[in-house]
Amino acid sequence: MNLCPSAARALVRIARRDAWRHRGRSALAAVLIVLPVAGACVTSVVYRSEQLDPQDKVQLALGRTAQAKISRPESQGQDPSIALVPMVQSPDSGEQSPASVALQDPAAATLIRAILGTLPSGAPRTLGTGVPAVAASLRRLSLPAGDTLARQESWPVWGPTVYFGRAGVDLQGKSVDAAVVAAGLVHLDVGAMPSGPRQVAVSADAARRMGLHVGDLLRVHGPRPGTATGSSGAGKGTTGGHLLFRELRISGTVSGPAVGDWGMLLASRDVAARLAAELSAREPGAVLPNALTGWVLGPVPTDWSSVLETNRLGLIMFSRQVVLHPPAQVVRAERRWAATQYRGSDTSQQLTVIAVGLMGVLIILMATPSLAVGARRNQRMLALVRAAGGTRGHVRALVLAGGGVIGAVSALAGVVLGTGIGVVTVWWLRGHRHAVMPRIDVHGLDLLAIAALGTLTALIAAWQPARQAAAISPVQGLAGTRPSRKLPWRAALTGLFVAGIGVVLARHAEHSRSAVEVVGGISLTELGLAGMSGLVVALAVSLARRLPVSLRLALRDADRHRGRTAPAVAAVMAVIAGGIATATYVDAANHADAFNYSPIAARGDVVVQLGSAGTPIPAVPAAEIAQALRSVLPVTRVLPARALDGTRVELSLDTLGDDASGCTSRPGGCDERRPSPQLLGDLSTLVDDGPVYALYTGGDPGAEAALRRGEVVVPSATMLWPDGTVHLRLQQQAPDATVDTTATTPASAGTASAVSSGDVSPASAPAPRTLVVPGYVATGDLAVDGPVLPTAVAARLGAPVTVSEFIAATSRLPGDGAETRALAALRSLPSLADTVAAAEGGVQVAVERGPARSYGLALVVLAAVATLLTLFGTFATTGLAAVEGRADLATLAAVGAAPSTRRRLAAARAAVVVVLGAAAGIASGLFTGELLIDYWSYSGGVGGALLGGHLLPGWRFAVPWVHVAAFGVGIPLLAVLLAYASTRSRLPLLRRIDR
Amino acid sequence: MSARRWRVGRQATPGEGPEQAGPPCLELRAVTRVHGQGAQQVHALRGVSLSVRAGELVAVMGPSGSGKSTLLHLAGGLDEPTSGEVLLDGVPITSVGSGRRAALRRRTVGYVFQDLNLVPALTALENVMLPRELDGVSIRRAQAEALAALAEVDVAELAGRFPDELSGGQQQRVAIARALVGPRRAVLADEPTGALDSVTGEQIMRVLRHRVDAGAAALLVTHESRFAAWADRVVFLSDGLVVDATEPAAGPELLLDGRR
Repeated sequence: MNLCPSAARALVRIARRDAWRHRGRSALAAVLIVLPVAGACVTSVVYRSEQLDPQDKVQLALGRTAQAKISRPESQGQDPSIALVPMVQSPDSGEQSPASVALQDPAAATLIRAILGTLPSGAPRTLGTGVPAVAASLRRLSLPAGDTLARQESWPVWGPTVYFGRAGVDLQGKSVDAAVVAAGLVHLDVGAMPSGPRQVAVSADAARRMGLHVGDLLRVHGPRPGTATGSSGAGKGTTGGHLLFRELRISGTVSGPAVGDWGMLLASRDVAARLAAELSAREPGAVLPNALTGWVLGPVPTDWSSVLETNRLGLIMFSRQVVLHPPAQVVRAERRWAATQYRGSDTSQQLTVIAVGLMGVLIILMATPSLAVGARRNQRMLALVRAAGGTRGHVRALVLAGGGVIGAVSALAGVVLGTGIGVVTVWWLRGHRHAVMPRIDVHGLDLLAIAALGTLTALIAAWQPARQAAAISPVQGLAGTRPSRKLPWRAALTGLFVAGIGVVLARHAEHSRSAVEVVGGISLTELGLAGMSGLVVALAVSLARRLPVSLRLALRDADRHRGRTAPAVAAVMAVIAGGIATATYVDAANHADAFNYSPIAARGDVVVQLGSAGTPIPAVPAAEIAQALRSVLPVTRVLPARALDGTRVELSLDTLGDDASGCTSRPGGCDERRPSPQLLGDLSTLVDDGPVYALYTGGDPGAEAALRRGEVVVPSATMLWPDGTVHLRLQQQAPDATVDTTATTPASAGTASAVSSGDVSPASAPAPRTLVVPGYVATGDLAVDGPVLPTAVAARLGAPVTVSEFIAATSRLPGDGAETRALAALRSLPSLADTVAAAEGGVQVAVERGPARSYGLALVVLAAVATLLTLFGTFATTGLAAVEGRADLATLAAVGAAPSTRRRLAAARAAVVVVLGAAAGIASGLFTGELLIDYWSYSGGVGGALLGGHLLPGWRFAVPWVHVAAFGVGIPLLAVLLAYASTRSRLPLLRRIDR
Repeated sequence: MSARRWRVGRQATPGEGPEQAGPPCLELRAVTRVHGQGAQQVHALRGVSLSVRAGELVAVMGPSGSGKSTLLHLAGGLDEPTSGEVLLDGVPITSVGSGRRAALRRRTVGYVFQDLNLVPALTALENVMLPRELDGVSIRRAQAEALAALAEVDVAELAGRFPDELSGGQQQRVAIARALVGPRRAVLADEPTGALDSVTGEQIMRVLRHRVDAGAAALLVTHESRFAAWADRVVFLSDGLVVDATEPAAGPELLLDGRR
């Protein structure tokens, strides 16, 4: 096509004016460009604004004056048992690794050689453990002359938890040298700095998030029982004991690099040490901080050699000078190394490109019909251009220019809209979510590229209409006729070929484990099927002869305007296929989740555990528990669950193994899995005569009757002997010499003293007691995972029994936040406040809600989007068909058609598009879903490790009939009904179609 | 004033024009056009020969389906004959590619149709400029030529109006201006008065006649003999054959303006 500038100008002028003259039609295509372009622009603005440049990083980490920050490697966290070893780091400390890694990783060795100039040899040298080692390394570090080192310490003192959804982080107590405050690394925002032993300043972010104010009391606690601390006995964890609390008055709110987002600043190092000692029940002075950070303050920058020296001492340095001016050779080496490491990100990029490409294809398919109709309606105008000396190329260019004009204007509008929303979003995130976004970064090149992509999408959408318009001869154009329609075999065969390649590629991915292959294969399959949609439409018309007049007209109309109908069918197909594929996968995932789920009780029941699992709990009146629960939950019945005291005895079963059990004769054999409730915390043996068992299992009359008869209920036939008996063996536990008996609660002391009264010792453990009693195999849907002993049997065994937890039945499934409300109610009980709440394990509440439905919200959103896109695609095509078919309607009116004919015809047109698209979409969606299941449930991406080349437990392909009905029947029906309802019934009386 | 009357049946060879100086601007030689295949074949034209010289207006008359429009489409290269030859300014357009034919349409011949002649998205001026712009002429020159063409048909003052702001007669004047803009010297008019009232139709014929007298060649398809009377010759088509050719009697317009 030889298109000179003046011709191009003339054609663009026509296209521009025509797009404006037919604004409604143009808007259909425009909205499909504007929305994704706007979305991409929002993403760009938010993403770019999140990116921190070196100056931002330095400002955030070091404030205005500090030269460097020195800390332990991030990978070591606060674990005092990990020894310091010589490290290597990238200039910005983003990459940190022991230098010895070079001995195992050749790729890393290259980088480390570039950083150090040599390679470490021999076993890594350890530099001590814990905070003392950090302190020693800091002392050995030689700083630039004129600089000083200030300290910031974190102590084993924790405040309330700040929640982000379900994840939470505890505020941690910190102390800093006065020089740190003077250097501006701590800012006082409100109030005053803490000055006394019972004062604390909390970070401004945490205070805002938790609604704390100056003058409030803040309850802080020490190490949780069982967690290691940074005490002088480093490495020896606290294995029991109280969770101790103190209340501190908030003197002010602070911010700055030394406080962080979740810090509590204490008055001084001495105050912090004393508080930590109180909270961990240790002698003052015996507690050390659990993290130590050094700040290099002064006028002289720390250079790369300082970083290397810090690394040799096992620490990491974030240096202002080095971050802003990194050594060039190290940066180059790091880039080369990164290129060999991040294959994963390449895959992510490829998948992103494929996803964006698929979205682009969908947009193209949905935009094509309006452009095709535009070209069709302009057929005479295009013929006039030909008559005026235009070539086929001119006509093609004119239609393309129409797409280009709509695309460019839409892209521009999308960019303006998206940038505006992006700016507002960043502003909102900074103001309301306190996101770290130093500036609003509107990246011009990003926007330009997005706009270009949007325009390109519209141009591609216009390609097929342009080709078809150029193929019409001017004589046909002037006469309003068109070339004879042939079956689109070539396009269909090409589509079949592409789809075949896609299937092969996706199947191959099951072996190659390549995500790009599976997604690329699926994409090619969908594209191929889209290419065949023209043939589907053409073949469907053969059904027309036997159909009522509305459907017959609609089918013939669809065939006559394949350029308009086929892309719409393909778009609906793609949307439905996406929905069905996702539903198929999610259905399988949910099945696997349910299969592998272990409920703690019957659905809706509430389980309250007091104290740690398996240990006796203080005698708390059940009535109080019930009252507290009833005040906040729809509880109907509360029972204490009694169990063998796991701290004193151990129950086992003597079995004959699989051969004698008969389980091999059961369907599924002994490998069969079944849901089995597990008592909270431990495999305690439930002691009950029926009612508690009924609550745990949701009711099993046979088992309850057996318990009443004095039979032991077991969950599996493998536990039964051939004669139907159960062989019980009870062993007294030997006392644990390592147990810190000082850690027992006053309430449990009596129990503990009874155990340790001297009648049990490792040297004089009595012989186990055995008992053979009739057994019964549970037959309900749920079963406790161990044997359940009737009270009489426990008594015959002489087994100590204790209340392990409480179980409550509810009249309906408690809603979200039930646990929090129940916990608050229980903690308010006076009998719990002073005993159990402070005891080991505290109070735990769990509501059995059944297995989580994976991706439930995502599926709902997807269904909504699929519905909207399907309706949009269908209505756009139906509306365009209605505009084109006004003359037909006038003819129908002239021959006496009823007014409702117009509505029936609109519904029939919608039905043709949506039914053909849904049918193809369901087929391809099920295929795609099966591919996804095969791929992801083998690879471990979702389901875990590979299991010998088989599907992971619980995964299976099944047709999700509900979703198939929703996508295949519900959405089409909705589209048809809406098309019927939204169409005027009056038939037009037209002599001639307006221009 | 001496009005010369043409005598009916003057020509011996149907379709061929009177002996005049210069080569024909448009010439069809034994042109045949068959649509469809097999049993569905339709012979639109059967060996039609016709020539039109500069300064000559030839009218083609005949019943519906006689092949008038097909003849016009072939004459401008919009369609290709099944056999025979079509020459525009001596160039055999049947032997050149579609691009060259399009170029000939841009530079040599223009069409005027019954209605919907103008691109609705362009002003009158831009419509007239269109062939020149497609031909790569600069916008300034195209504008100048278009304005001149509009002035020649007395609608220069309507240059900025869009087609839907023009009357039917004004639209046809603009179409005639477009057909003869720049170097174009041949007009192929397919029922240019068909959608107009009789007065306006007369005015359009007067404009066309005037342009022909100024040196243009015109081939006019019409149903109405009163408009055919404006022609120098009338060719009758029936079933794709030229069945007669006449020199029509002088119409009232000739008597009025007394040019002949």
